[in-house]
Amino acid sequence: MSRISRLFLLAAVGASPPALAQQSLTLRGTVTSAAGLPLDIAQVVVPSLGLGTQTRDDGSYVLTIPANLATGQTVLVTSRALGFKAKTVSVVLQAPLADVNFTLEANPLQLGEIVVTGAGTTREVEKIANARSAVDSGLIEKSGEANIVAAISAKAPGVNVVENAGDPGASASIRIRGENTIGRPSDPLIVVDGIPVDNSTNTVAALDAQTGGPQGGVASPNRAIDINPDDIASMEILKGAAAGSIYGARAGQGVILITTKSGRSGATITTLRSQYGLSDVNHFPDLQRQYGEGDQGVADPCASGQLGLNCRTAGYSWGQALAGTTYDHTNEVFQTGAMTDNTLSVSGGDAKTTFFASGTYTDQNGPIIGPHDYLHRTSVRLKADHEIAPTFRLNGNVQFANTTQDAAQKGYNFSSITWTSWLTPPNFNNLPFIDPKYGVQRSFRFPLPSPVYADSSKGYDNPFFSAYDNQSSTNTNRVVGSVGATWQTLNWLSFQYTLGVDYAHDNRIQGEPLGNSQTALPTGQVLSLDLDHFQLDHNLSGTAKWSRGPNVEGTFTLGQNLNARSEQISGVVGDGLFQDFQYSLNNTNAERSPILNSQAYIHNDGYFSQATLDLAQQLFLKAGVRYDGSSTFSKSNQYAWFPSASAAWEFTKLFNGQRPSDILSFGKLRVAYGQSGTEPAPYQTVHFYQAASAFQDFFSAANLAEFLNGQSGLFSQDTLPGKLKPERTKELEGGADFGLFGDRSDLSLTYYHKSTDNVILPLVVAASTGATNQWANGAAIRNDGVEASLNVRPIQSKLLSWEIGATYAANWNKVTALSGLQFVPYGGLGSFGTASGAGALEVTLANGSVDNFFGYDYVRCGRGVVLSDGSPNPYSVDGHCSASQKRNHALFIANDVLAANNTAEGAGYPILDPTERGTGNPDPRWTGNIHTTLRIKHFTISGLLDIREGGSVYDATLQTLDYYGTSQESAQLRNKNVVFGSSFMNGPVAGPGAGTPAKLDQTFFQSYRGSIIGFGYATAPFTVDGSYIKLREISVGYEFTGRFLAHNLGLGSIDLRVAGRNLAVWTSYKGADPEVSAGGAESGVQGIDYFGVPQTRTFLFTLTITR
Amino acid sequence: MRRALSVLGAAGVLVTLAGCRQFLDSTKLTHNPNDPAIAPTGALFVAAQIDLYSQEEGHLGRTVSLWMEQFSGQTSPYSNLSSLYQYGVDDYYDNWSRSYGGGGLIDLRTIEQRSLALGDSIFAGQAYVIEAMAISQTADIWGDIPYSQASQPSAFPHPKPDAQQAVYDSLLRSLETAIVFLADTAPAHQVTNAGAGVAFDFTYGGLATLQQESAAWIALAHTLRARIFMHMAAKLGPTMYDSAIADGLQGIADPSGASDYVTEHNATATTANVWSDFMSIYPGYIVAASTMINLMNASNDPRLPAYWTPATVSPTTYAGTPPGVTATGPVSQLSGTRSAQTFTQPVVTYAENTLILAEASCQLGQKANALSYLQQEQSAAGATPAAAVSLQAIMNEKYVAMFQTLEAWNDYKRTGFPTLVGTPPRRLTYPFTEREANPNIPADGARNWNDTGPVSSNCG
Repeated sequence: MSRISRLFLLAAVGASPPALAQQSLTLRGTVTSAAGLPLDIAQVVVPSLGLGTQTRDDGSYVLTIPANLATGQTVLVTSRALGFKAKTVSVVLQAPLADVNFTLEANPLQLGEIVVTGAGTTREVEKIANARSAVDSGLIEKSGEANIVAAISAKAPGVNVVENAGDPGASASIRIRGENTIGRPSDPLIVVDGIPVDNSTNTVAALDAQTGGPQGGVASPNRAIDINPDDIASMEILKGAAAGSIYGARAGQGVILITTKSGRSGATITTLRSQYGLSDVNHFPDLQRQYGEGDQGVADPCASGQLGLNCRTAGYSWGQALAGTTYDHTNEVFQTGAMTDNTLSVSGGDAKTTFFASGTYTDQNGPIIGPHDYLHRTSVRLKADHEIAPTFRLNGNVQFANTTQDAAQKGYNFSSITWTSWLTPPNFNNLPFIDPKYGVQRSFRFPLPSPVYADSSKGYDNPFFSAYDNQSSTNTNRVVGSVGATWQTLNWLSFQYTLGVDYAHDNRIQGEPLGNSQTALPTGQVLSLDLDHFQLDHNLSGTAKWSRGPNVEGTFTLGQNLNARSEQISGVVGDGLFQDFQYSLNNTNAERSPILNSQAYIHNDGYFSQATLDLAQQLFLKAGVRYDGSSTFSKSNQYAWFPSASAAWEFTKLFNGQRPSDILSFGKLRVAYGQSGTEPAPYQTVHFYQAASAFQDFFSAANLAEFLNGQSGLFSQDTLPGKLKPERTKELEGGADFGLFGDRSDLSLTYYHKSTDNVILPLVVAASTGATNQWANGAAIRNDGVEASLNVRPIQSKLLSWEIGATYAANWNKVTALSGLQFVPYGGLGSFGTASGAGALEVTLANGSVDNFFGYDYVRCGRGVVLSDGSPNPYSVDGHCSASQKRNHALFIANDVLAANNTAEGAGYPILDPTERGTGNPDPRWTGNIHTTLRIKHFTISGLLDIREGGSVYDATLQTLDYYGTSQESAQLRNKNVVFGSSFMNGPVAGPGAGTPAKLDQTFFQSYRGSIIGFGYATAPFTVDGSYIKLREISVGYEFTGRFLAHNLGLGSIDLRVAGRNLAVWTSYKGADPEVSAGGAESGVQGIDYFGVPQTRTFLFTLTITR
Repeated sequence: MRRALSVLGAAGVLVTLAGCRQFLDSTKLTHNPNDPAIAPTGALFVAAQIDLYSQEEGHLGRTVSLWMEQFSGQTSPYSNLSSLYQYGVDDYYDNWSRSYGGGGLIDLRTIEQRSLALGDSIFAGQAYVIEAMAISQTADIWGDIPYSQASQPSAFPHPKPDAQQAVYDSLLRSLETAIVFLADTAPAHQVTNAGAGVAFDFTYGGLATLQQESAAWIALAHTLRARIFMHMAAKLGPTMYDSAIADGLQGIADPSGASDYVTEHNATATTANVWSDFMSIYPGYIVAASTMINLMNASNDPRLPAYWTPATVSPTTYAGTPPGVTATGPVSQLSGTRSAQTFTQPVVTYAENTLILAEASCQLGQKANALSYLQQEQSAAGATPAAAVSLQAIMNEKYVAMFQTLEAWNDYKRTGFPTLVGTPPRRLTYPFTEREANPNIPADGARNWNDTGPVSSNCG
């Protein structure tokens, strides 16, 4: 609108006869907040002249008006700043000009500001009818995270972020408003400046399940890591289907709209930001130092040297009590990592052209020693906008990023650094890791190998050997670019067009040295994987505006979106290194199949339409519909409709623009309904034979490929195709936003009810049919939740300001239909249970929640367990339990007769339940944060507490440590005589052996309690509460401004900040970190603590210089 | 002017919208670009053989070798599997599903149907033999299993199990058919994939002529029939021994082992013998069990160095450890020969055929024949021929001769030999996931139909 009037005025100015001889005028003044603070980066514009500038850090501005434009006319001058209400004054352009000063009132509710709402549409904040979650550049910057997904952790209610590991560049996954999908990733669609971008997480598991699988291997990045957080101006998280509906079939998991920084006309602003940080891990599992390597209390003869060269140990720390020197293996392979981040950005422009350019280099070293735990990112961006003709503007935006990353082996594999160090017996010294006499890697499983075994597995690698010599790098070159145009054909009609491209090439090299322990051929191997991701997006829309006076206004938008995506993967494995540690395929003597080569293509054909109607400047209605076609749907269901409608009522406008009272300064009620969808993966609707596949063995490493002797084989696919249509999410949300005490406080409340049906999943079918699964729209899920946020600004003065706020979100998740099955696998963790039901670590339970731990417990009352007592009649457990014992699921204790016929160690011990069950749920009961900012003049102190209440963690690390006998727990309980229920595993007990004393011997720990994950018995005792409060962020900053800087150094400001991340955690959880999950963003699985690299605590020092 | 531009703009939008009708229809979108929609029968046969190898050499083979106390588990999960017989409810689901799915019954039936449609009776015959070998093992392990309704996902989403006896009967008939088909070596009947020198017949494809190749398959079919008759003998009585002898006499007869049905492997990790991969990646997880080592030590068995590494080198000794008990001193491991990547694992052999003849003869009281067969087998294996025959002598010899095969378990269930330390399960429980998805799966019993335990023997 303003642009149009300006155009007319410009035309009028141009057309008028030359005025009297004029001189240029200088408009100057200051912009301050109502509290008296100078406002930097405030805009001062004269729209009618197409002129504008920006304030310096002391709030002053200078705007020169060329002589030919200053004709003595009266113009309107407007000043606006983010977070403040704009103010406009009229000025007569005649010399001498008095100072024009602005005092802006705070606008914490951002009323009147325009935000993007997707697919090229925008809307003013007060007219939005769904709960809005925005994360601005300041919050992203404060987090100090290199990964923008990790940066939104604990920032928005209902948005939960889980990080895979503490390695730099490790993937982080997002779950918005609970899980509403089973077979598909739960991560939202990410749209940057109108272009959907790739945020996939890929591992090298397809080539190497043993080391590349997510249960082991290394932390892989999610591709949003390529986005430079410094480039981001704001993020809008479209949490609900009502808001996301405009993205139709791709919005089922929510949408994150990212807007990058833009230039503004006026002075060119240069900002240099330098950051230096230190990070380390400060939580580890408790390890014992009392007992040595051995079995049943006896020292391992091999470890003690009796057997000389070349013997292998069983590796248990169940040996003799130790007297001599012991070694601490908790953190021997950890270090303090350093990071630097330097960003230079330049922005500015004139009346017709604006630009923003940035360049950044990030260098992070991770918490694991050695050269293979790092993230390096170089990113450049240029974004520009130019007015070609008064009605036509062209814009372009291009980012190039190079991201390289290498992460430490973790989880369950034989080179895993955490696994091998935490399982090392306390009397074994992991150093030197190369035997000085024989020059061969030594480890606690193979303490004294001769050179004959140089190329053999050492059982487990020495953690130092793995840290120094295993490479697992990624190198990604990525370009995201777009060109766009806006064309204001008529006053009421405009067109917008964007053509965007996202292309990334990612090369992975995984190198394993000679004599490593994790491959079938310990002669060294190189695995090379190339991933190409390409996305082309075309978005064309037209918007018409109309009004019947100020009280009836409306818009109508019609648009089309075409999107083409492709993924190409090719990989080769080379076996046998000529020269050690040189990880290139040329340096291997045999390229081993499978040579992986796959392609996937998806096209989307979408049409959208949206109408808005604003009545009496207080009732804001919106309705929309999207019609989406996808090549991934079945031919018969190729297109689907996704409608939405919403209404917002700013009821405080009833009082005619006057504040109704000092208490309630702003009030809005809102209700919104919408539908969105989730697509299947490509080719799930067509039948094919499996090529380049393998017959899996129980241990995933020893698989047999389906070809031999140069003959290729094919076999029928395990998972049958299905007639698939989109997964559909229908969501109704309602809520209210309030401004209280004249902007001193704001409160937002939201309730939502979300039902998702036609959930796409590979339904288990009877394997005797010749297939194990069939793709189907086979489940329905319901999520209900509440979200609240409250901010209070009790003090707002020039000297002092203080803001404190809190958020709260709770979600209730329930599976309402599951095709008659009791459970289906929910995501997978490598080889541990994806294809079949049992054996999965997490499952979706019918009438339960989407994501549950699944494992074995001991036999308990009230579960209908039937045992054998050796007699012909089955023994009903519940028949031997009282009503209260059944209600409390009392632990059932064996006597000799029962123990002899069942899996119990003996009389007095519990019996292992033969059936797997849901053992807990990783979903928190509620999450929230408390954040505060205190400013004393130029000092700013801020803090963020992240709170998670409830939600289980499966401590598979402790379970394994117990099995091997290196945990502190296994030392303290070792051979202790207890009575189950009263002195161990306290709680109600039942059964004929109740009260009989039992001994917690090695057999109990190894065969009836601890085990290795995936083969484990009794996982239930290790499924524990994962609640925590984390001091997520704390920072202290000081800003230098003023005439000295400006005049003597030519600088606008210098900002110094010291920040800390994850400095403290309060939790009852005994393991290293309740937050890290073995399942990265690639798996969807959460809450499994399994030899991950714990999250780090970080200290950051930041210097920002603005000119 | 501006109005005209607007019209132009609107028209442009309409043209773009109309121009994209083919956008969802290109071949790369509607067809899987990675995996073929149609498979040649030869390629299916290649995968079917490898599927069988994975069953013989993989977790199933390992489990039987542990339960038969050839190996002793040292580390989780094998320590508990070895002595406590603990296994997860779906640990053998892969083995179950592979009998029926890709590489199993569903693809074998495709080979049979397509070959017969083309008149290629030889190739159909080979597929029938593989099917009988694979499915009879599934029945050995689980008893009553889906077969007649199996591997037809559209027609039978919940296949009903057939009685174990019906499965065996059906396989005996199809082996009979296979023998007829394979004997038909008219050139008109090798139109697709059968024939001498055809490289995808990994076992007998290398023989010089089609006649030789077919003869080898026919002998294999007879030995398999003999094996199945033996599995039914405990239940159905002595006529089964007569049948086993009748077929055994036409079974694998080459003492050199050249006609044995063995697996095939190459020297890369993904094509290597599964035992080789396992031993390399998980060294020390399973080691020699004292049961087998003691048995072999007692007769100073000449196969010791071929099967096991010495526990000590000078003097050369072989030692094992009881099932699930952590070794406290030097212990033997699977030999280099047997853990080589290209080791061709015996599946159906001359030794088995000859010892079936020995056992069946002995059970029928024909002790002289029995001794003769036993001695023939022992001579071929380089062992000192026995002076006298007994069921125990035959079965202990078979136990050693058929090291690492699934058949050892069946022999033990039928005869109670060799004498074991533990009491291994008699069958596997139906996989949990199959039970979940198929309401027709019956309750698990402790024993299968044919598993009556050792019957009183005429053999002594």
